[in-house]
Amino acid sequence: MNTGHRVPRRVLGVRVRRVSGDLVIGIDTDALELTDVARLIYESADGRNRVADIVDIVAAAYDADPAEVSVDVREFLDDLAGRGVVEWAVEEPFR
Amino acid sequence: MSERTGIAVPTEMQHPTDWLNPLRERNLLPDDTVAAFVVGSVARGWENARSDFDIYVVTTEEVRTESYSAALMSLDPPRVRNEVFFENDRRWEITYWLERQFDQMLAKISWEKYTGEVFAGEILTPREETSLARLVHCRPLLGSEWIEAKCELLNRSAFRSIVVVRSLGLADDAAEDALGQLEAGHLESAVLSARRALGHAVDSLLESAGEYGSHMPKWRPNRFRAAAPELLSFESYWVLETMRDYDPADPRSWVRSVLTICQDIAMRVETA
Repeated sequence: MNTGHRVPRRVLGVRVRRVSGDLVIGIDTDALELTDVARLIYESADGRNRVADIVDIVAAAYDADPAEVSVDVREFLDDLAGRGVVEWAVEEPFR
Repeated sequence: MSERTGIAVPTEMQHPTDWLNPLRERNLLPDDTVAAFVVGSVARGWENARSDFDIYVVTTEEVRTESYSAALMSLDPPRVRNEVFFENDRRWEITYWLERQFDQMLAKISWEKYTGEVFAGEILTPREETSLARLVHCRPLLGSEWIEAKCELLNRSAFRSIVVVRSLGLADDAAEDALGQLEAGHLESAVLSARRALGHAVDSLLESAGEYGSHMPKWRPNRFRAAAPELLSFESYWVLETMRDYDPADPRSWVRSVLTICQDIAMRVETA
């Protein structure tokens, strides 16, 4: 279960390239392209921001209500975790 | 060849003739010279009293002097010739390039080559890369228009992307080594691999700002100051480079923090 207190962190060793402002992530032999909000979420998964913080970052960047983007952010982070691109660093943030 | 007799005193060489006259006196400036320029630390103002004077002379015909040596190149002809002499306790090294050799190097860094199947790290040899990079910060003595034209071609080429992608790839390889070594408990080796990853990642950051020369890591701090990247302050970089936060009792923490910085750099360095 992904709660707002969990802290996602980009997995080390995953190859990342910035191409024309977007991110291309190497997953085995495939490439995952992250644009716009997807890129922002991945960039924000720095091992310090909680999920709730990332929700606020996305909401602020797109002038949206945090409640509206919360589910999408959580699902996307779960998806990235499932692909081995993001891992859960700690249950409670280290501040 | 004369012997170096002691520590040289820094020389004020302000005018091109200060550089060219010692060459002319030794008959080392051919009539078909199209360009001559100072390269290396002296050209960048980073020299010290022990620094060599490195000068590239570009000609249309191959130079043949009595005492030259030659360095092998993957070009046609497959060599550049060098002359060395000493004056005022300074070692002067003159490298003779053919104009068409520069053209061949520039042809290697086309966008077609970059987007082709050749690995970015194999497009240029280290010496070719260094030689092209030296054009950017050279000190022209003769043929300023030729130099400007070649710099313009370099700027329009895929050179920057080639070296950035090469350095990022090497950083990734070293990071993978470090992580594998951490997992296997080879902590000291992991530390060395992380240091190597950091060097390549920082090189990519500097190269993206047009500060080339990653084959000469001794100048990385100078290049860092010149590039002044927003992503990483010099002070933070120097803490990493000098391992100030390294705790021998907890190498894993240092390795992971360094690899995180490397990934942050890769995420932000633009590759065309």
